[in-house]
Amino acid sequence: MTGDPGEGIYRAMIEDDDGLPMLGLTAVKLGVRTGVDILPDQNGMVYRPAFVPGEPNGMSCSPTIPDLPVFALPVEWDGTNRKTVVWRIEASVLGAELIAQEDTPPQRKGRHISVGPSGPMRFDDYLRAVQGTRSWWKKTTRS
Amino acid sequence: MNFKNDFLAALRAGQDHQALMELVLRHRTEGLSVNAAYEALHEIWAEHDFGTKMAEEGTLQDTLETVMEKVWYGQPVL
Repeated sequence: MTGDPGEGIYRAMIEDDDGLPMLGLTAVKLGVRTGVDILPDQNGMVYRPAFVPGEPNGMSCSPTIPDLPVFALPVEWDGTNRKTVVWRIEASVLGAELIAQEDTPPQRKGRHISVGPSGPMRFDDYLRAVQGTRSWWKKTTRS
Repeated sequence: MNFKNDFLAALRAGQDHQALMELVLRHRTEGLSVNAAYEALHEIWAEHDFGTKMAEEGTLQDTLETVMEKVWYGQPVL
């Protein structure tokens, strides 16, 4: 793929007015959905995932741009979405509360990385930690 | 009923992403490939022109994109 910057942690998200990823609880915003991305226990706690492939281990990302879902991938990157931008974050800036690991299951279309909680914490704190990475996501344009 | 029609009917009926994933899994057991499942979902998505719209939480678009993301990444393993 022309201009492909190689492996990293990528997510396709909508750009907000301030030039950063839009916060929210959908597939193309920066956030974590309970029951979709992670399953809090009855006390509202989440835990460091075992990164079992196919399980809800955290917020979905991909290790390369072509692995991102086609519906989310911008037209610029040969996808079909006219609202999103590809963003990249370095694992080193995720902070102590977050951990990223590949957990790609078999029989899938795209490789998968989950950004999960690094240890026990309230779901609200996990969501806050994920959304607190907002300024560290860098736009990845094709040039 | 084929997968696309079956899924669209369930989506329009307001089924949540878990019920829709169960529908995907049921069709998988009947021989539908992962690629064919994703392609059918993408057709529905494109026919609604969702590529030009931003999904709001809890909408049909949001639910559809949640299922598409799950099927794409194989969550659960399909």
